[in-house]
Amino acid sequence: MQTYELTEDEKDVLQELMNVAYGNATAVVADMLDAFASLSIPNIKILTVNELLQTFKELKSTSYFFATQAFSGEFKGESAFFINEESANNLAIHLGLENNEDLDDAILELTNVLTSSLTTKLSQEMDTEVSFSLPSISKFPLEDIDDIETFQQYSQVIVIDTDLNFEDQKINGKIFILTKDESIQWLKRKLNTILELLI
Amino acid sequence: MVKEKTQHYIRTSDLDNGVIRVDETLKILHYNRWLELHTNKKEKNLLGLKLTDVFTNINEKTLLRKIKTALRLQTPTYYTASTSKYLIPIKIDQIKNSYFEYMQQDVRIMAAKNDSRIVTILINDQTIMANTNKLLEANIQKVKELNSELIKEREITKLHNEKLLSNSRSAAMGEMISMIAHQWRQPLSLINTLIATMRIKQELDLLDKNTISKSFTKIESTVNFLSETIDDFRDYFKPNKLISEVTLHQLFNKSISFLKDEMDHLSIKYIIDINEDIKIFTYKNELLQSLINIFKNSIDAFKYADINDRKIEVKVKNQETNIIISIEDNAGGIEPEVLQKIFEPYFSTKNKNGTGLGLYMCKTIIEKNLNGDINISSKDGITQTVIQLPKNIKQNEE
Repeated sequence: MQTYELTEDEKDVLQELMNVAYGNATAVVADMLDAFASLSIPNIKILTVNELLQTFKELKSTSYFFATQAFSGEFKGESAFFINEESANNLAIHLGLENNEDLDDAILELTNVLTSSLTTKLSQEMDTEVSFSLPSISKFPLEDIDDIETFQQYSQVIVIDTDLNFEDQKINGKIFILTKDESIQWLKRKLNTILELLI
Repeated sequence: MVKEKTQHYIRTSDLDNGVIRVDETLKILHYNRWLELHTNKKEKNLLGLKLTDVFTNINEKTLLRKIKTALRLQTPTYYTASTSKYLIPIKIDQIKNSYFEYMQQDVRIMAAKNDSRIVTILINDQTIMANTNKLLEANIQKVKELNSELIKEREITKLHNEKLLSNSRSAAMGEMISMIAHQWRQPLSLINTLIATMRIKQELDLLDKNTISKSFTKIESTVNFLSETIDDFRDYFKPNKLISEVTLHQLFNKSISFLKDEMDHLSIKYIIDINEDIKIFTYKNELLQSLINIFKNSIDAFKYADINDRKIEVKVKNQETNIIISIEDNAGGIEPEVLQKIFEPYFSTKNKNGTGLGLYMCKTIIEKNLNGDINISSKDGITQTVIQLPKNIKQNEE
């Protein structure tokens, strides 16, 4: 198995691109929920699947809502959004939702907004297009995360990890943008093209 | 109309999907043929009406939020069948069994390319998928229930096995007491005879110092023998969980010494062919208990068999990492149907006298504790027990 690493320069460019994308995502989310939102500066790294699962485990809460959404194109992968039960309940209160199905729908909406605003902006910056699949949701105790086969098909993943915070409403979540080997290669090529243009 | 990048148009009436175009106030601008057929409503009667007035089940606030987000993002927003069930209520008329009364829909809300106030709502029938999911969920539930039952059963079996082992220990204790009784019978009767003789001589005034001294010496040595027997039994039967170096020749002699009286009584010859230097590292007492158990079975078999040249023969093969012990008796053999069940707990051919735990315990000890293997075969009146053991249980455990 080939292993990839991002050079400092590649990381810098990606970080810059992500900052632009996150600015966009924050604005859209704030608009959608009519609340002041902040996204932490994204943390970018390449991890093995085992390391990724370990990261998930470190979220250490007994019960999480967990939504995923696939995106495809030259840059393809999957986003994974985690929101704990307390935050999810606060989201339900904030949106005035009446039942669990509405709450699931709102979490999916949030996942979709974050995924599409992040990846669309990122792909625009990298001169490509992405399309999105329907997001899906599951609720499970975090100990079972090893059983989620969707992650097992990755060998290495680029993890772009950020915290979403609505301070007044006490809502926070974590989103991971995961891409597979070939997208990591594509991304590295693309980042280097941008780097050459900058020099 | 859904417009493609190439500027060609697809007629929405050709699509196997529902297509509605609305503006940001939910005013209906287009309602395609598929929806007309499924909802029995005509486009011409709906144009200009508010979608949520036509379908009052729709949560207006949520729909407006999704439309606004789609317009703002310029990427689609969704309703998924798995959480929202459906947007447009369409009754399912199929005769086929369905979990659902209404068509389950995935809905995609897409911003129009050329107008920032208009969205296209694309409705996809997901009922078959939802039915499959529901069926799968029900089956998963069933599997989970069966699994938890299985776990319970396993717990019960585990408890049952623990109880069996504890019973087999009690049975071994019983065997031990019976063996001590055998060993003690003769010396006790010797002491008894010596005392009776002294008493008679005393009454007849024939008891001299010499007789007293000789008798005391004999009684002392016999009592010592009794005491040694008890020590031996205690040493070998106390649960000793230490691995130690065992000289096999000595171990066999020790096991036979416990049974010698009974073997002599039944005229059973004991033949051993072993290199006296063979040593192994193992749990000594557990191996001894197993060997005694196997010998005891052979001895018991002779009790019910009319055989002249009675013998138990032991051979030991020394291999590189293992040793192979073969114990053979000519006590008449074992019937195939008995042989099949020989290691099952509570299986005994000895009626009231057998607990049915001896060989079960042997197998458990040899396979689980000593990392070995035991097999019993029978042919032409001869029963052969073959035990394979690692020479060094530690290495094997590592």
